[in-house]
Amino acid sequence: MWQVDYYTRPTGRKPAKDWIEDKDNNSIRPNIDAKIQTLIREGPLLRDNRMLRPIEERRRRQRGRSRVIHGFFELTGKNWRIAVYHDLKKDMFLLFWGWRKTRQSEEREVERAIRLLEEYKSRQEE
Amino acid sequence: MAVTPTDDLLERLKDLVYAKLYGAEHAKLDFAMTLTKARNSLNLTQKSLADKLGISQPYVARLEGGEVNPTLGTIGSLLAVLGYRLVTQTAPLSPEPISPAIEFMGAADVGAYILYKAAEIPYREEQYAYIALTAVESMNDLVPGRKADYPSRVAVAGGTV
Repeated sequence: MWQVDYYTRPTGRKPAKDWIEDKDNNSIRPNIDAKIQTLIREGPLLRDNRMLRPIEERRRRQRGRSRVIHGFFELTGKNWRIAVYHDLKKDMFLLFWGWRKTRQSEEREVERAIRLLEEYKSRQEE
Repeated sequence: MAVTPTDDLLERLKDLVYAKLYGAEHAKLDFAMTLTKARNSLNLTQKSLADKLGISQPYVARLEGGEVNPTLGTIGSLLAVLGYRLVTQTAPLSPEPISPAIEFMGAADVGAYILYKAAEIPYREEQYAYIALTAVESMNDLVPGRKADYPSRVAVAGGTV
């Protein structure tokens, strides 16, 4: 069993929890919950069938070149994604942010997830 | 106390309509992981598995992603090609929340905890006592200078080791 938790911002908000509980996501919530439970049971094994995929940060100014952020993944559903960080020091997964997958939204949402991850990492260093 | 995704799920599962939808998704993902593990055990790629099964690689990817809803017959056929059969069993729908006793346990206490649990269960005493002793020995290896043992607890566990 793996420990999976929401990331909590300094304000006390949990962005991933807020997104999952948004009423617009009622129809996909059973799928999201089932996948989170699968992550709890199987952990990194979800990489083998690409339920867990590395998140790439695209650099617009460098003509589409991308950079993989170590330990940062997206938990994938049919039309949704949740940004997940595998904190190796604490040996746990943290859920950061979720979004509906559309071609337009993807880059913006990934950037938001990365900002949250950077916030988390900077707080760990304090 | 912090609210975890499992706590939220337990709350939602009180709604029977939600529980039915969750149960369906859970079953698909269970099979997805079973298929992935079966493929891994045979050192196959999704493409080579697809060729073996006579289906397309994208369909294997969707099966392993829990995105499709194969019939029991289809599952049986897929597993048969890999040399396996389907074994079904039921388990509680609700995930068990992690017990605080385990969550906050220090590594050095794990052996003692296993002995404690072993003493609660009158069956398979020898096996439990053996597991507990192995755990204690492992802890001794992991923690420098630690030479603890639990002779009285082993006696409670009824082991003959």
